[in-house]
Amino acid sequence: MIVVQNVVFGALVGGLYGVAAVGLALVFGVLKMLNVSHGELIMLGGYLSVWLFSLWGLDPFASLAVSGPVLFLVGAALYLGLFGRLVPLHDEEKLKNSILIGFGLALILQVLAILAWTADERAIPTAYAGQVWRVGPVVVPLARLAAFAVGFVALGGLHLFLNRTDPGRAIRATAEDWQAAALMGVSVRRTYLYAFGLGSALAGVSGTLVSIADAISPSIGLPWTLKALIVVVLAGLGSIFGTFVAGVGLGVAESLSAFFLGGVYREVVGLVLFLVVLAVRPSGLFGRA
Amino acid sequence: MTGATVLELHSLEVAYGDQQVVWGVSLEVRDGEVVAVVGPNGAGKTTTLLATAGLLRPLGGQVMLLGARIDGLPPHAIVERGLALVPEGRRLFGGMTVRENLLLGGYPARARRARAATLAEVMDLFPVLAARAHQRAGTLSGGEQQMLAIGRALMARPRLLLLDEPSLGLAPRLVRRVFELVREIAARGVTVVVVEQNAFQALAHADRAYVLSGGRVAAAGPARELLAQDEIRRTYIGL
Amino acid sequence: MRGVAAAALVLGLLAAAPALTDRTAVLNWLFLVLLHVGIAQSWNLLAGFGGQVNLGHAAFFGLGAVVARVLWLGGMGVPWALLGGVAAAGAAGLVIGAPSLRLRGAYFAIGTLALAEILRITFANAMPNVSALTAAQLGAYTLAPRYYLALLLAAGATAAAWGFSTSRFGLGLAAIREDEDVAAAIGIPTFRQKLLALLASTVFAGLAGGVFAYYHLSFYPSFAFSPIWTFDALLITFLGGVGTVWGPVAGAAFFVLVREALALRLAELHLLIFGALFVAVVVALPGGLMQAGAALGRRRGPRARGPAPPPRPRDTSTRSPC
Repeated sequence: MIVVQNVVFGALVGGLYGVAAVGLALVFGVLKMLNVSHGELIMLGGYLSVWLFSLWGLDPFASLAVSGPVLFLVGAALYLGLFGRLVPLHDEEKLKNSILIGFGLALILQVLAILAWTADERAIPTAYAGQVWRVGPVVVPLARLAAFAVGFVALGGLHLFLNRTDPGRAIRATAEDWQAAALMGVSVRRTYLYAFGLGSALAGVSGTLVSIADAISPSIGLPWTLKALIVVVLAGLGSIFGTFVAGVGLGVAESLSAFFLGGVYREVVGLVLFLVVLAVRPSGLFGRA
Repeated sequence: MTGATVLELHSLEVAYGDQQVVWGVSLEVRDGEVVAVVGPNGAGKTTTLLATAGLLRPLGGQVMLLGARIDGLPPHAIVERGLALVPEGRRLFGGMTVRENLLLGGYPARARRARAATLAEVMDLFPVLAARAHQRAGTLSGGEQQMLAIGRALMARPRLLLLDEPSLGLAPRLVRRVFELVREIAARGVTVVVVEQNAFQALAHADRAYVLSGGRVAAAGPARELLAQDEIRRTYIGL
Repeated sequence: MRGVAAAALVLGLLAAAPALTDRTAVLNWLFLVLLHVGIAQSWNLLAGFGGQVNLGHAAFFGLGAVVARVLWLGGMGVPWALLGGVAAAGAAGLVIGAPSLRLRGAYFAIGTLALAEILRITFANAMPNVSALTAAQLGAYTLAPRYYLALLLAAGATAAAWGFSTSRFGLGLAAIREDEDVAAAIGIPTFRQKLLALLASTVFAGLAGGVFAYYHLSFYPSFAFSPIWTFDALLITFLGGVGTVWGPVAGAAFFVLVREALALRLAELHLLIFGALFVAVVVALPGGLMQAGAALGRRRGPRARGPAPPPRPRDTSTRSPC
C-alpha cells in the first residue's frame, strides 16, 4: 500500500510538472526557442504568491489571478527586450542563442531573488495546508490535490483557447508554419509575443501551484527547468494532454524510484531518462506526435 | 472589369538568401484579369511572388497594390490590403482540420466580419471541402489539398489572388479543373496571377502572360499570341 | 612574433610574482585570476573554437576537483592527485563525448546541462560532508605552489587555445563551426576533431578543478559541481571574446577584479552585472561583435523579412572560416 501512496503523491506532483512543461513547450513549439530560465519564472510566480500571502494574506489559489497576468507581462518584456531579437536567426543558431540567453537570464533572476528574498526557503502556511483525504489506507493531501486539479483545469482552458479561438488558432498555425500563417494575415511577431507571454504566464501559474504545498527558494529554478525539459522530451510537442500525462508519469517514476532505489534516485531518474531519450532519438526529439 | 491596375511591379530586384534571383522585373495586372507568369525552373517566378506577398524584401524596385506601395510591408499587412497567395506546395496547416484551415484563411480583419458567409461560399464552390470539413488537412489527397489551399486563400476575400504552381503534383484531369477554377474565380471579380511551369495550360487559360527567364521578363503580351509564337512554344512548352 | 614575446614577458612577470611581492592579497588575487582563466579558457576550447556549447562544464571541473582532493587527502602526492583529477575529467569527457557529440548544437547544450546536474546530485548524496584539511595540512599550507599550479593551468590552457587558433586542426574546427555538413563533405573528420576539442576542454577543466581543490581549505564536494562554475566560464568567455585566445584572459582579470571589489558590498552583485553583460553580448552577437562569435549566430540573407526562410537554394555564403 505504501507503493500506492507513493504513486498518488508522485502523480500529484507530476501534474505540476505537466503544467510547467506545457509552458515551455508552447514557447518552443511556436518560437523554436528554448527558454531555459523557465524554471526561474516558475520560481518568481511562487515568490509572488508567497509575497502576496505574507503581505495581505491572499490565499495562493486566489493569487493565481495575479501570478498568471504578471508573469505574462514579464514574459512579454523578456521577449521584446531579449528573445525577440533572435527571431531573424537561422533555426539552429536561434535555438542555441536562446539557450544561452536563458542561461544568463536564469543566473540574473536567481541572483535578484536572493537579493530580494534571501536564499532561505519560503513557504505559505495556509490553514488548510495539512488537511488530508483518506481513501482507505491511502492519504491524499488535499492542498496538493486541489493544486493538481487547478493545473488540469488551467490546461483545459489553454486547450480551448488554442482550438476554439482565432488568436489560439493563429498561434497553432504560426507554430506549424509561420510563413503560411503570415499569409493568412497573422502578425507573426505579435503571435510570438503572445506565445512567449502565455508560456511565461503558465510558468507563473505553475509557481503558484508549487507554492501551495512546497517551499520556494531561489535555487528551485534549474531543477524545475530540467523537469519541464524532461517532460517535453518524453511527450513530444503533440498535445497538451499528452504532456500533462507525461508529467504525471515523471512524477510517478520519481516517487517509485525513490521508494525502490533510494532517495537520491528521485531526482536522477528523470535526468537519466532524459539523456537516454536524447541519445535514442536526437533529431526527432521535439518532433510532432 | 474596370481596367484599373491592381498590381504593378516596377524593376523589381529580389534576392533569396545570399543570391540575387530577380534582376529587374516589371509587370502590371489589371482588374479582373487572369495573368500567367511562365518560364523555366529558376527563372525567379516564385521569388517574384514571394516578394510581392512580402515574404521577401526586395533589393530594389517597387510593388504597388491598388495604387499603394506595399514593398517593405510585412506579409500580414499586405494580406489585409487584399492580396492572397497560395504558395508553392500549398503550405496547408496539415495538423489542423479543413475547417480550421479555412477559418484561418478568414483571419484578416477585412474578411472576418463576413467569414461565416464566405465559408459557406467556399464550401459551395468546393463541395469536397464541406464533406471533409473535420478531417485533418494532411490526410487529404493532392487534388483536395489544392482545392483547400485555394479555398483558404479565397476566405480572405482578396482583390488579388496569386497562385504559385497550382498544378504541381496533380493528375492532368485535375490540372485542367484547377485552371477552369481560376477562370471561375476571375469571373467572380477576383484578379488572378498564376505562376506556372506548365506553360501550355497557363497560357491557354490566361488573358495575358509574362515569360520570365533568368530573373528578367523575356516576353509579354496576350496569352493567345504568346502561345502561338514558335519561339515560346519550343523553348517553354516543348511543342 | 611580437605577440609571443609579449606573452613570454607577461609569463615571466607572473612567474616572478611571488618573489616580487610578499603581499598575499595580491598573490591571492592573481591566483583567482589564473584559476578563472583556466576555467574559462577550457570552456572556450570547445565552445569558441569547437562551436559546441557545453552547459555542463561544471561536471568536469567538479570531477577534477573531487578526485584530486580525495587522492591528495588520501596521501597521494599533489602532482599525482592532480593528474588523477585530470584523468577522471578526461575519461568522463571521452565517455560522454562519444554519444553526446552526435547531438547537434542545442541538444548537446541541454544534454550536458542534465549531465552536470546528475553528477551534482549524485555527489551531494554520496559525499555530503565538507572536505576539510587536517591541522597538519593547514600548518603546511603555502600559497606559492598553488599559485604556480594556477599559472601552469592558465598558461597551458591559453597555449592550447593559441594552438587551436593557428593550427590546421583549428582550421578544421572553424570549418565545422561554420557548417558541419559541408566540413564533413570536404573530408574533415568532424567527429574526431570535435571529440579532441572536447577532450582538451575537459582535461583543462579537470586541472582547474584540481587546482581549486588544492587551493581551498574546505569546501563541499557538491559545490564543485555547481552550475555557477559553468556560468563563470560562459560569462568570462563571452565578455572577453568567444573563440579568441586572449578573450578569456582579459575577461577573467576583469571578472575577478569586479568581484573582489564588490565582495565587500553585496556578494552576489557581480553576478548580476556579469549576467546582464553576458546576455547583452549574446543578444548583440548577431551584429558581429566577435569574429568567432559571429560564427555562433549567423544571420540569413540581408533582405529577408522576419524569421529566416527555410533554406531552399543552398546558402552560398562566401564568408571565410577564420
